[in-house]
Amino acid sequence: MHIVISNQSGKPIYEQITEQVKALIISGELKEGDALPSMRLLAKELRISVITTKRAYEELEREGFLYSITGKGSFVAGKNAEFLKEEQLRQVEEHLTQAVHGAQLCGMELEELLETLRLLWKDS
Amino acid sequence: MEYALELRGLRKNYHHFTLDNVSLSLPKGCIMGFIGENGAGKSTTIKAMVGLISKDGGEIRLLGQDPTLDRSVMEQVGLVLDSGFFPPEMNAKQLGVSMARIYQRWDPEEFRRFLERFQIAWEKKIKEYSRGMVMKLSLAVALSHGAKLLLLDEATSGLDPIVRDDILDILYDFIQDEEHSVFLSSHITADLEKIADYIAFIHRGKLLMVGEKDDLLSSYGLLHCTRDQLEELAPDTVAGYRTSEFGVTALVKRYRMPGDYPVENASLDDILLYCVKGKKLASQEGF
Amino acid sequence: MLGLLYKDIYTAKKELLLTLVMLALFVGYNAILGQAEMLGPTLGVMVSLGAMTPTYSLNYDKTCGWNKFVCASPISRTKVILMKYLEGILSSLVIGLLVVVCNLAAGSPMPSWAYPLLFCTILFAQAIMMPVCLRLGQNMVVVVFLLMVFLPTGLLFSLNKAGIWTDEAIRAAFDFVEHHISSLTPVLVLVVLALYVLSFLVTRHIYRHMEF
Repeated sequence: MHIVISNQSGKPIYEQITEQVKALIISGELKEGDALPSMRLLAKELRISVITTKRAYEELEREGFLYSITGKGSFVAGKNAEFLKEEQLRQVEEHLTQAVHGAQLCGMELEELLETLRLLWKDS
Repeated sequence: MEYALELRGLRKNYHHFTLDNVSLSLPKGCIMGFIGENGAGKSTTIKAMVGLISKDGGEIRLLGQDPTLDRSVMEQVGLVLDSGFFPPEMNAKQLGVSMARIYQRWDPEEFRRFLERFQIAWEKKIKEYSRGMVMKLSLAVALSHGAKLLLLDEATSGLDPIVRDDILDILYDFIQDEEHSVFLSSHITADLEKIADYIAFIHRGKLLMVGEKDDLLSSYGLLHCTRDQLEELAPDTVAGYRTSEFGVTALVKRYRMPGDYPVENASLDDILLYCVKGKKLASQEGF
Repeated sequence: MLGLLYKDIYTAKKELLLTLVMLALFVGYNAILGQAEMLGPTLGVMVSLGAMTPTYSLNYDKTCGWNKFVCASPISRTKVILMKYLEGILSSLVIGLLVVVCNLAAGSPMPSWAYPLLFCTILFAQAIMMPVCLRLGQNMVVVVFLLMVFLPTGLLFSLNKAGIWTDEAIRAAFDFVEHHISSLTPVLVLVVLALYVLSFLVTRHIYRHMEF
């Protein structure tokens, strides 16, 4: 399990963790029932505070990605990867719809929009 | 919530210094960093907590008990001070023999493991130790009698980065047990920036702020701007600022900032520095 | 609490060793040469040692920062001071034993009824020194000790020289003490022990209000 924390990034650390754990679940690297390291161990390994890892795990649990058993730890929830992918796809569609609306408002052509998208894709 | 440490209105009067109504609480299983410049009252607070000095007011609870009434709670409190307090003529082996008759739950095996890990020779006299070794020995003693609460006063200052990292490792190991809590004072904020769950900030004997470290770090930011831009901000947005020939850098409260200013992340050092030394807008005191 | 005793013994190792070597020399000297004159100085050295031992350890704790540790430990401050006084009694007993050995080695020039008196002298000196050491420091202990020795002897000599207290009167006083020693000893022991307890209370009071 790979998690990389950056202090330079403007994102709060707990968010960096939740995002990366989600990505690991979607990519299938973490499967249903897999145990995650304890909050305290993760804090030690990442050199961050326990309260931060706790917050990340709680957030993931609230969103249904993890479940925890007291005294045993946290595990990847049954939400399957397909479902997560669809969820992600739906979000992409939503954002793109907004982009299309925006483009239409300022009279952009489809080709222009696609070109912008292509540029953005390359940049990221 | 259960607290490992609670101070309510702790007071101590000296001729030229007063520890003024210090109140804070550290939930079990957490680490609190106690920051402030030298002479701000960090050591005074810790000494009053463990009974090395008498308090002039307020209440102290360590693991729910009052150490001024019942010393037995100190069985479960490990203490590391900035200066060593073991006889220089003794060696670790002799110290272990004495400690076994001072602490009821002294664990000689644990002590031996720590010394091995720290590469401290049994027979070496304490007066031949380096500062880092003295600190590690104090830590080994503090961690070998079943302590649930660890109090450290400037334990990492004056040590090289490698030893400091070793000490952080030990603290991380200690809090793997969620019954364990740590309260550590330091003016080296880089260490606390990593490990602390909570931060308490003391200045001239007064507690300026206590809170979750993440909240503190995310609610403050650094703004580089011109003098005129600074003047446009509401006074209570700016915690402190410093001017240079080329402009102004201000510590600002992010949530009070109007949208489009570029605000950088602030470190604990920045917060400490700007709150203590920074100039204030208008006539506000402290925060 | 025994840990405190161990620590004091470990830290005073060198001093204890030195004391033993000195005593061995004295005893050897007395036993081999059988010179009773040496007994006086021997006793003087031993009484001073017995009086100083606990203050030495009290002072050591102050300088090495041990007080910071022990006052933040589960051991109460009363017990810390109690231990010092117990060590004081312990050291007087050991010294007392050595005095007996020295006396026998020199052919018993000292009557056995003087043993309790010597023991009382050591305890008395400790009772004065302990609070002085804690409050005023080790340097003052030396000053006070010298005063304790020289003030009465000086007074006695000058009174004698001035003809107020004649040789006959001194001899009579000694005779009186020797004659009534069996009834005086218990009183003396009780008084000194009471003083010792009082001294403990005073030292404890000082220690309790000390800040480290």
